[in-house]
Amino acid sequence: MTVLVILSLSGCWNYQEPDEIAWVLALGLDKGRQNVLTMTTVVAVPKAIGSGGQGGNGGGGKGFFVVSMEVNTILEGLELLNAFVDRRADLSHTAWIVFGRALAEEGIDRYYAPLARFRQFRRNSSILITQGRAADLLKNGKPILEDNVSKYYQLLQQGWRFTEFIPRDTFHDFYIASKTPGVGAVANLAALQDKDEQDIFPNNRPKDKGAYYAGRIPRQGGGRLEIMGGAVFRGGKMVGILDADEMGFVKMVRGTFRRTIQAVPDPKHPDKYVIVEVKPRTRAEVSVDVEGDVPHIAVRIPLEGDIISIQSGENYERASRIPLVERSVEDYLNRELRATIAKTQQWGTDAFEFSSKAQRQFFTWRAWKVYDWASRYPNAIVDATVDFRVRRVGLLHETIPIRE
Amino acid sequence: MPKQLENPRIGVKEAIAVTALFIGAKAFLSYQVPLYHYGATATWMIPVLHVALAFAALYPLLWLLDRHPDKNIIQIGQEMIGPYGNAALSAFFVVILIALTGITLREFGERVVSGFLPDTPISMAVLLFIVASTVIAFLGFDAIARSAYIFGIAIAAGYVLLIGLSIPFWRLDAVFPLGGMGAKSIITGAVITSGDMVEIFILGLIISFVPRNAIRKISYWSIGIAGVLLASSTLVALLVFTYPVVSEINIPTLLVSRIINIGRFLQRMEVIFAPVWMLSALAQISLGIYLISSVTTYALRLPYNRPFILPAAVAVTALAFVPNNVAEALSWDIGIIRRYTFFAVGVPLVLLYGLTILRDRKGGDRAEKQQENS
Amino acid sequence: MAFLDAVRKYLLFREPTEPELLFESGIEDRLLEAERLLADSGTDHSAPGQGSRRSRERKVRRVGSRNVKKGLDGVNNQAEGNKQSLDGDAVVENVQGQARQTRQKKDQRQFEEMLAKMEADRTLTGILDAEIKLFEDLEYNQKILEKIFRKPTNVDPVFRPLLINHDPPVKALIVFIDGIVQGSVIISAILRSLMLQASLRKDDAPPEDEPRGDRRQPVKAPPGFLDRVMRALVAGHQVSTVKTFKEAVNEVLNGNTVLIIDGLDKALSIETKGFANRGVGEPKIENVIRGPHEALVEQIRVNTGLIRKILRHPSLVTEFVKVGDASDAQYAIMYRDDIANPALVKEVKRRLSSLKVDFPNESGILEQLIEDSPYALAPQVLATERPDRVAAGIMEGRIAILADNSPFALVVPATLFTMMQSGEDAYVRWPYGSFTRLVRWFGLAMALFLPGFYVAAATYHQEFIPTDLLLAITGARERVPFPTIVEVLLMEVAFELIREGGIRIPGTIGTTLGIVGALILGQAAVAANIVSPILIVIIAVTALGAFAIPNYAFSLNIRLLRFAYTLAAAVFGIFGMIFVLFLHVGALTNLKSFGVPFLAPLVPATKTSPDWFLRGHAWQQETRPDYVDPLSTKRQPAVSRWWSRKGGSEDRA
Repeated sequence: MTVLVILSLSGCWNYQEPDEIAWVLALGLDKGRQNVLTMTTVVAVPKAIGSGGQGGNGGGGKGFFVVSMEVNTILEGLELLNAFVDRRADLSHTAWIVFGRALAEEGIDRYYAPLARFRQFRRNSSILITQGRAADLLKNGKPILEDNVSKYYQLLQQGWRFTEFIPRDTFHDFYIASKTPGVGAVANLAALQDKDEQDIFPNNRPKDKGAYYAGRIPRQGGGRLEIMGGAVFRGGKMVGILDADEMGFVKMVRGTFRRTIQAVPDPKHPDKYVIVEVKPRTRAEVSVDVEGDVPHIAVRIPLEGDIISIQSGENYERASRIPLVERSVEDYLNRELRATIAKTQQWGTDAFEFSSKAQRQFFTWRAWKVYDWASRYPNAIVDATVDFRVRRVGLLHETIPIRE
Repeated sequence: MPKQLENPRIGVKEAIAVTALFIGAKAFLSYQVPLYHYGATATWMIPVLHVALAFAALYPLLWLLDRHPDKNIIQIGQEMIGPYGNAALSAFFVVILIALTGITLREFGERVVSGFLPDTPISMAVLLFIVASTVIAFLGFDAIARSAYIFGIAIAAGYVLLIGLSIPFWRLDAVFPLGGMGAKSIITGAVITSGDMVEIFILGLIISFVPRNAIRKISYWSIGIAGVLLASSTLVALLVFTYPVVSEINIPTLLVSRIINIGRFLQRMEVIFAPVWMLSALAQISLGIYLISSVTTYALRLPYNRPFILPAAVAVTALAFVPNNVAEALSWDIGIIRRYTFFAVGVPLVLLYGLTILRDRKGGDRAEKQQENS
Repeated sequence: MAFLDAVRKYLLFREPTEPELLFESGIEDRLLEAERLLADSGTDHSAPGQGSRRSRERKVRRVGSRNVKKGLDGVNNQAEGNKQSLDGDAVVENVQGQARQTRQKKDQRQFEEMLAKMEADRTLTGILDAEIKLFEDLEYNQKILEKIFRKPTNVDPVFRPLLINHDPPVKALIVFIDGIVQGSVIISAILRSLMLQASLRKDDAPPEDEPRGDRRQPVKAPPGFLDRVMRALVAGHQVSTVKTFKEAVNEVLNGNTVLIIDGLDKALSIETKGFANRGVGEPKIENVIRGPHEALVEQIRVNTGLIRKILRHPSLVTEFVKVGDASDAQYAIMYRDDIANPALVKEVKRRLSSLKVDFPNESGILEQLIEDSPYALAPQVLATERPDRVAAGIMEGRIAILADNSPFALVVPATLFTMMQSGEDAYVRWPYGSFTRLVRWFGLAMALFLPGFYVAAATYHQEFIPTDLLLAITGARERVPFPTIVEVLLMEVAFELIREGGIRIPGTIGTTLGIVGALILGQAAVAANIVSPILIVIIAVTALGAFAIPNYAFSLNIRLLRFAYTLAAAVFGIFGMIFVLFLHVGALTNLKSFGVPFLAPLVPATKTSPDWFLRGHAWQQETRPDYVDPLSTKRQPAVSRWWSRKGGSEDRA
């Protein structure tokens, strides 16, 4: 019977054992050196991952190998992979598509958009732009905690749930954003930690954690892969970088913001910090007035949060003094928010997706198209405010100053 | 006239299920694709208009059936326009049914190949569908209707799950601007694609198999259910993909099912939903084959329909393979079958309708009227 | 070639010829009836020839009443004769006065009225509840009781006439139900004492209580004779007097023996209870935790007794049916005469009695001979070893078929949903019952689809498997030389072997060895790189799912079909499975069990209590399943918990 089954299976067109397929977990694309593209694939080594329990701790990058080749198009590269990988290459478990910055600035629409047609490809993989070359990123971005590099990629990407650093956007969102008139697409920003120059900043003046972005995090140790901030696109070309805080504002307006921790200067002691946890209260209220030549956008972001640390020991947690903290947070955030919006206006790309609200002001699609949001957004008058309320003060009520 | 064997009898719920699937199964194919060009962000209105059109066409049909108790539309044709006219009429219905079923068969086959089994020849995929459908058609109308009812429950559950899981991906702004392409474009689109509702004429055939007085209930419910299915699938695809992108996708429900996920764990769930469209396709194709054989049987006044099932299956399969590629199949579907067939089918029905009115006017059948009143 | 020709003919020219059935579930009829009802209000389309359910019922009634009338004529004739002989007696005896004669006339009138009423009301409940007193005349009493117990069709009740060995002898009759009495007690305490030893003691009898007359001719007993019989003649340990038919019937049903003496309008009930309770074991395959732990045994009379112990009702009929030509084994059908559809009873009897077979000695063979579609995979008859399930089936209007030497009763008609039920569902509270049923359906789905789905997902639809799991599966498969489908089939065959072998291994080691064997085999197979570890889990869950199916035959059916799904999955992935599913369900919709669609009440959708899929409240079980077309669909009133109504306890009547 077994023989019969095997014989009959030779006639089955799609029958493919999972151990006869090379699972491509990530794709990287750079400007080519000998061809149009340098395509990098991360191929899983299931033996090192799946033999769990029998003491095979893959860790540190044993679970995959990286191949870079010079190709003309992505799918050709996939085909080419079969020339030297014994298993048939398959994109259906690809978690990341990484573009080198140089390529992204030149324009990547011709590479990612056609992937939507390809059946293996999954639309909820994510798009990353790396500061250097994608090939280096994938080769050196080895997980420490995971055996499975795919889990590493996906968990890194899932950081959007509890940080403000990266956008939620998957390939699907990115694709829609880049095809919808007037919307600026945002991709994750990734980079390798630069080993040679640890001195990124010349002095130790205070710098908000949100001012960092991938490749610009001064640190020692840990995996070399960093993912933080966003790359903003216009018409398939990368136009700029949003740092972590700026990314947070974009997420606040878009409604994908979940929480972050914000250190704001103490209102009484400018050299010390009050640290608050910030969460959205409701969705951002955006109203757009399209009557005149120039659109008027009014944004109000209702936030709430907890005081989690007061360095100065000032008793801000008294009910009467809480507004002091609230104002301070609002001032700080307002300043940053307005600067971010101005930045996107300067780039001429509506990364905040104000357009989806502006769209409501029109009755027909034709009228909306004629209005041509993309050309009007840079001139729009934006009135942005943050409305922050402190809800809880943590486990201490009033602290006693430390004895001299 | 040879005695017609007694028809199989099915219950009202089964009849609703099978009719609703016959009308609504195209929601799992490319029904929505041409609509987005006419409706843009307001495309969901077009299926609603389709339902309204269907109801508008339903009333004359029901009236016609009421005037001819105990007869289906083929038998009415027999009575009103004689054997030769009726031969043409029946042939026309058979052609329409073969076209509908054949194209559906091809499109579902293509869907399997392009979405799931890329290395499998289309002939095998089509064979899979046609064999299963033919076997069930052989088992008879009650087997078709009963399995349609059972699978209808499964399909409904799967579809609701699909919609439910897609909720996190909805962008509610996608329905704005509310007017879409404007009223004129939407109405034009609804009229041009009205062929999507051409299937309601099978109610005039199904009436032979169901309790006569329940035909109204069956029509309302089946058109209603199919309408909800069509409208909701159009709307959900619009909400998930938003207007300009949604118009470029080929099979909206497949794409929606590919995108939904439950966390990191379950992604690419189209396999879970494969039964939904495959079962609806099988139900639709088997009913199509059965009805082709049934129309032929009634037209030729033969006692039973089994001899025609294999030829019907062969004809349907043959038609399924006529288009050279999927684009051609789609253009046949959208450009020919779905465009204006609603009115094409309407012409003979209006003819029958008119003749019936004339007959009643003449008052020659007073005796019959009395009989009815008694 | 001839075969091909036959196939061609079948495909092209032949309507499916189904054997003519006396019983059809009546669903189609009901559709017609609905049509007719509406047509009555409007225009009448339906042809007059089409039989609505009502007319069919009428027909049944008419046939029944004709038979009854014939019988009644006989009864009347007999009564006539009796009257004459009574008259003769009266003349000869000439002791009693005019009073007695008028009383006899009155009795006769009442008797005839009663017969007429019984004929009209099949259930007889009204007559029993009317508390009618016993007649003085033995003949009348016997006729009425025979009618109540559905003699002669029902063979359980025994009417044993006897003569009390007195001087002169007195005619008497004992009534009891075979199978639930102790025969030895009846012989020693009643028969021997009355027939032989009664004449020995006559000293302390007051002279007016003594029957007087010719010593050879039986005479009617005087009123005080009962007392004397009770005090002096019957050697039973518990004796009580009964006055009405209802009491008498209840006593008989409870396993006592009722002694009716000619000339007395009272009877004696003598304790002879002997329900079979020894030798009755625990169920072997239909175990429950909550509920009775008895199973049917190999003796048919014990089985009828077990069932009658649960359903103590006079309309529960046990009929012996002769099956086959050569064998003289005993077969019985049991049904509720006032619930089961007569046409269904007739159909079952027809199928059984028309069998031309050599040796159907077990109900399993019988099942294969009477089922509707022998080529279908699904069992169409519910075989159960639990008397309570049989009783529940009978109460729904189904018919139980018992065979001597078989501890399994067949309950027909059976549907898919009865196969998935267990008695326990009803014995525990409804949420638990519903939950266990859901678990069971889940088990069914696992048993049927899981290996196939694993094959389909692992070899066709890998994109669906979560990446972590996929890499784990792939990694585990690295050293396995076989394709996934071969792995799956290997393990399935191995498990089927263990299961089959486990039955042969004697006694308690059997189960232990089965489990241990499975574990060791699995572990060893993994260690030897023959299968991947995840597969052991898959196959184990599949096996558990199959065990969750309460019906053995149905479980076998699922185990078989699983291979079809697995192989289809290996050829076309999930589409192959759906292909098989579509054909499977299509075939099931076409299947019938004794004229009842196998998937009823799902399709055709029919009325029934909330019990067919999930278990509803006990007080919601108001109707019997409509698809078996019982004579009375109402099972209990809309309000069952009458106490919950205000003042409910008083006006219960």
